[in-house]
Amino acid sequence: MFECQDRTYVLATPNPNPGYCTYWTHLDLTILKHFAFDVLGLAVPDAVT
Amino acid sequence: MNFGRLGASSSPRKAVQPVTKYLFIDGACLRTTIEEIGKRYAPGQLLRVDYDRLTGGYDKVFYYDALPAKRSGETDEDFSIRRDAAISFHDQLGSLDRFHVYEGDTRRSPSIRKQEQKKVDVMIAVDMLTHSFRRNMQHASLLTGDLDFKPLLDALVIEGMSVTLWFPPHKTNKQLIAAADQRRQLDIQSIYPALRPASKALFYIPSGSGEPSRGDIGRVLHVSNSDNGESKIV
Repeated sequence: MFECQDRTYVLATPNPNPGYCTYWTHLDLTILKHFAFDVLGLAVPDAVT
Repeated sequence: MNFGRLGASSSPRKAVQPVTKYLFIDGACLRTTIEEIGKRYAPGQLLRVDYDRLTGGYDKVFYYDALPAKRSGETDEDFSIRRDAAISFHDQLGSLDRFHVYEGDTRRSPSIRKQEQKKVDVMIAVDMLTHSFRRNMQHASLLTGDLDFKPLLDALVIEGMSVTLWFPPHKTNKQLIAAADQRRQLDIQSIYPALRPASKALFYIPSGSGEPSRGDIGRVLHVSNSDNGESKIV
């Protein structure tokens, strides 16, 4: 999970295509963390802010 | 001797019959899942769902829910408001095309000190098996996270019915998930497209795009290794 210079947050997950990633972008880190857990099954600790 | 044309068939070509799909909804499961999603993604707001859209693709939708019981300490007036709201919601759902709503009861259990649904589970089981035995449907979907329904899914699969479980992730027992032929998560990704415009305007969800890996594209906040469950904060 990354914080970009334009204040967006990006979650990179593996993609079936070799050398590719799936990038999930959102302006709200809280929503991105909820989405990561609810939909992708990735738990991001509360300490990540 | 006439061998006929290569690839020709003596019988008229049959039209592909569409598969009849029925959806059976454990109303308490759907209601609480939508409430919990609302608390996480739009705190303090009530998410309003277009149920016709949420259930698009199904020929019939059967919705089962219990009317609320009076809570301890609740005034008659408050209870009446809550019960009338539930009845009104069921009436609205029942007025939608394809929808059929069935109401059970709720009673307070002195042993587990919480409200218990009565009749609903058995109504769902009886209806799913009846439609299956009569071959009214070729595909059955059940929306629930309740492990009590595993014997029902097992019976439907043995009967030869194609069964999809639509379940809330992280709350559903693996045995129930394994019992179905197909699985579908009931999460923000499946509910968001069916939100009414006013609710949709409250927030948006991330959309994924597959791209060539770009390495570290910003300040690294968190690294997760899904293979061994390890994660670290950077």
